[in-house]
Amino acid sequence: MDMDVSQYKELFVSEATEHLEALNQSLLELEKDPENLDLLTEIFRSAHTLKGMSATLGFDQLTELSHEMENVLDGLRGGDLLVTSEVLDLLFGALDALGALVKAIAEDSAVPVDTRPILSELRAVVEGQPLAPRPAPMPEEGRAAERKPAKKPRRAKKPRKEEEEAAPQEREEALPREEPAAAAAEEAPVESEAREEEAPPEGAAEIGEAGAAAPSGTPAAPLALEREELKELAREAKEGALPYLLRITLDEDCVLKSVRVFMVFKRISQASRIVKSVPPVEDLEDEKFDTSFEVLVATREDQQQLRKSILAIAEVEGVEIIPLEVPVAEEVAEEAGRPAEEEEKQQWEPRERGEAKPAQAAALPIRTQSVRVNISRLDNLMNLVGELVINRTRLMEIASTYNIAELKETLDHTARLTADLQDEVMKTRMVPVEHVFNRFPRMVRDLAKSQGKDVDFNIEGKEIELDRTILDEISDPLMHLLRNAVDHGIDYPEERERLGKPRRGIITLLARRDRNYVSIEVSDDGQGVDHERIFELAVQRGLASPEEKRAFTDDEILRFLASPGFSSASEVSGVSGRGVGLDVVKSKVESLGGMLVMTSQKGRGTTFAMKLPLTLAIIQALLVEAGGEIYAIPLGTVRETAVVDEHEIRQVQHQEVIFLREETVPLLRLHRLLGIPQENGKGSFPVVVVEIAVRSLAIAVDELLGQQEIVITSLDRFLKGIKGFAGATILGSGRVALILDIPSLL
Amino acid sequence: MADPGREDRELQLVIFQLGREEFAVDVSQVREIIRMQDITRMPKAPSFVEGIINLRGQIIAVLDLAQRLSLESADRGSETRIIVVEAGDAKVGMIVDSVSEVMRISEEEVEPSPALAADVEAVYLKGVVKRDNRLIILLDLARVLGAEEISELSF
Amino acid sequence: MAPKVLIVDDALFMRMMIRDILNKDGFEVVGEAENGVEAVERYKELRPDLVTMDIVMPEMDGIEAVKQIMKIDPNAKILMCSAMGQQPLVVEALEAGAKDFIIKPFQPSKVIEAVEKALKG
Repeated sequence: MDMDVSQYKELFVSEATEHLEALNQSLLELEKDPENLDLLTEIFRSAHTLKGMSATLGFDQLTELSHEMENVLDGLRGGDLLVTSEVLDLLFGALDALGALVKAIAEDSAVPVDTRPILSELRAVVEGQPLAPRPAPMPEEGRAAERKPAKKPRRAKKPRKEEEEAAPQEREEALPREEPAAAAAEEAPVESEAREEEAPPEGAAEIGEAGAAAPSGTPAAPLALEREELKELAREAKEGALPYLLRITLDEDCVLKSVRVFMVFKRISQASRIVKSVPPVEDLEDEKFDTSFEVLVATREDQQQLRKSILAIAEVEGVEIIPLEVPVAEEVAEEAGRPAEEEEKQQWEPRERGEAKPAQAAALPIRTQSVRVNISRLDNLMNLVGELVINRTRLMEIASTYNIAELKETLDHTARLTADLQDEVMKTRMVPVEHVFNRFPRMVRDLAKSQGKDVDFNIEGKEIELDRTILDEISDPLMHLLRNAVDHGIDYPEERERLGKPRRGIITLLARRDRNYVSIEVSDDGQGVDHERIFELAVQRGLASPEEKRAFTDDEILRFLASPGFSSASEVSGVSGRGVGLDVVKSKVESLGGMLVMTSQKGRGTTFAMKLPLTLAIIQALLVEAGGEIYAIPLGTVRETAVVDEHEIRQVQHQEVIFLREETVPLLRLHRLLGIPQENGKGSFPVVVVEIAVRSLAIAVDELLGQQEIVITSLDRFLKGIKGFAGATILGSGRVALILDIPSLL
Repeated sequence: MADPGREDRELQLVIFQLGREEFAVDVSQVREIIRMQDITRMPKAPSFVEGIINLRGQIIAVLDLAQRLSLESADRGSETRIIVVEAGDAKVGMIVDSVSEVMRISEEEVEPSPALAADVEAVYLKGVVKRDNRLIILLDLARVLGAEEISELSF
Repeated sequence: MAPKVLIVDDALFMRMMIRDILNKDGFEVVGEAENGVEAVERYKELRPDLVTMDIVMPEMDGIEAVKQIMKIDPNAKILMCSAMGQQPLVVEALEAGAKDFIIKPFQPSKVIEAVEKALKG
């Protein structure tokens, strides 16, 4: 049988992507430090490794391109060539093309990547010819909108026409080999089917979890097998249980699909071993599949018998049984002997791979000890912990109702354990922001360059950790803010000089831990926000009335800027120093339970800070009572609580205020904010002092009930439109309490 | 598997009372019928939103159907029920005075609603069914809970 | 001989519906019960070929009833009747020995399919 490239593809793509990222990083550093020979050596090594890997798997275009790149690097290393801006641009261009090739492989893309122009440019440099004038950079719009600039075929844009003509003959290289139909039936369906539906794990590789790439909603992950699973199959085969792929189809109108899955699994496991399913069990349980799913089993049972027993379950429409090849035991055994540092996916049936293997193995970087876990598993774990917390709370209520001392004691212990468990689960989901931040230097560099701006881009707090899901979600908003900073924040060098500023602008991306929040900030030392101009525009758009004219706070200005459509007009981006899409950024941050804060000084610069919760789902909240209902206030915003007497209240400009240790704090009554009845006849009442942006506000309530962990459930579409609530939670009593979102209540 | 209902286009309706009228919704839209329970009020919501409840761990909205249709309703009591229906991707509870039965009718029995058949705005009606001197009003749930109305929920 | 079925549900109209569906397809409904306790009693007395069992009922719920019936007759064939959103309960019932389940609101064809498959299996 012919060597089957597709079996190794996933591993290859993940490795190659890592190398490309590393190359990107090192080239950026080299740009700052052109004399650094160590860096050059490192870059050379990466390119070389990439070449080796590509050659091993027969990706000729990749091999050729990395080879030419290596030649240039060799020239640089040997001193025959100088690290100039042109050469660096060329190398970046080569990286982009490599990225495009890898992406094409990952996606089985039929669109070929034309590498000829870049190849000839690389060769020209090596041969000492002067470089052709650089093509104009891509239009700014398309450019900055790219999620991962490093991977996009920047150069491929230009010769689009040629590409299409070249399609037929080049196509084969980028695609895994087509297999004879018979062989395909045996093993290809697993891979190809999954591939069709699943976009490749883009972005996941950057996070360092290629194996966990598929977001939980993705219907089918490729059926690549972990070494453990291969071993298991080999072991089972020795004992006479043969591997089969079962494709089970449920009735189209089947309800409670998850329970059907459960029944199918139960039936299968009576006489067979289930090795894997596509989509994974967690997705099946969440009913994240259409009508059919696949189960890889090892069984001694007769095929017909198996089919019949599954068909005996109601709403099972069909069962297709595909026999699979038995994995080669020795291979697997050898794999098992390899050090635990490579936990990459082992691929199916690695026969006839004898000579190629060592080369590839050598190319694998050494890793720290870790296990790749599917992110949906972690989500699941998180949910379970959430439920555990709810149950614990419920138990505690029972214990205190019936006053059972022993139970209380045990529960105290359980409480500590639960807290630890929660902590650990949270930690496993945390990744350094670096994973996302690392994408940006290149983007900022290219963007600034394309606009003829001079920008120093600094990153601080790379090591700060954030929940993986949150981090993924803020990648786009961050890109938006950075792009705005370059586009509209930083002026042209001449303009800066005229204003008495250094020609080179500074953009800083910073992460820091702030109590229960992580703050991620994008600042520039550019022109700042022109308050007056924005007020004018706000009046034009009916967001403010001309009489209102006064010194607006940054907060209010941001509210204008972030109102949908406010700044989409081109005039705004030109004048205001702020570009489009702030509304999108703001709502994204808020949907994650965070908030967006802006501070700006005209002529001095602007900072946008995203204040994000460390984790999703579970939060600490203060429970309060007002108008007979219980509400939860996220503790992250709570500064303190106090008791206030009616006669302590003063009026300042028609606003009730109270004094807290010399500080004047506006007093808002929750009843009024919510439009609910107020409890009467009390001379004093508790207040919750919250911090919104930089302001403090005292919120009057009827009663403070105490602090508690709550699990946030978002409101469904019937109620989503109602402002003022971040969601709801189920209390220990089973009652529902709304979670207040104070900023949106104001 | 034979589907006995397929030939004569049979409908199954859940019949319930609201004020002096009898209403019906298609059984296929009904997820369950539960007793009245503690409802958490939802401030700032339109008045016909009674609040939210915990339906076995799922938080769903509950509407006062009488208010929604601008009808008088009986006092809440032991007969009061919440009909949980599926509308699009969300579940919603509707409070009704009582639920009496599931009725099978053939589709031909549904007549277009005369304009003044009930004190309900015609847009919410799918038709009426006349049987043994009873006039049963078939509700158009999509309209009652429909998209344009929901946007009203968000002001 | 037509297979004998016992219908357990606390709601009269649900029992009527199931009875209608089953009768139409030639099954014989030999009895009804409106809670778990009654279900177990009637099972002992009638020994039906199949039981349709509601889950949430007063006195004794459907899951407990399944457990008790399975103790009396390990070969009992019980079909759970569940509302949407009761996955965990359905699973629990299946673990307890129920053969299969149907979902309210009932589609006659689905009910018949499940009943037939359960009787065969």
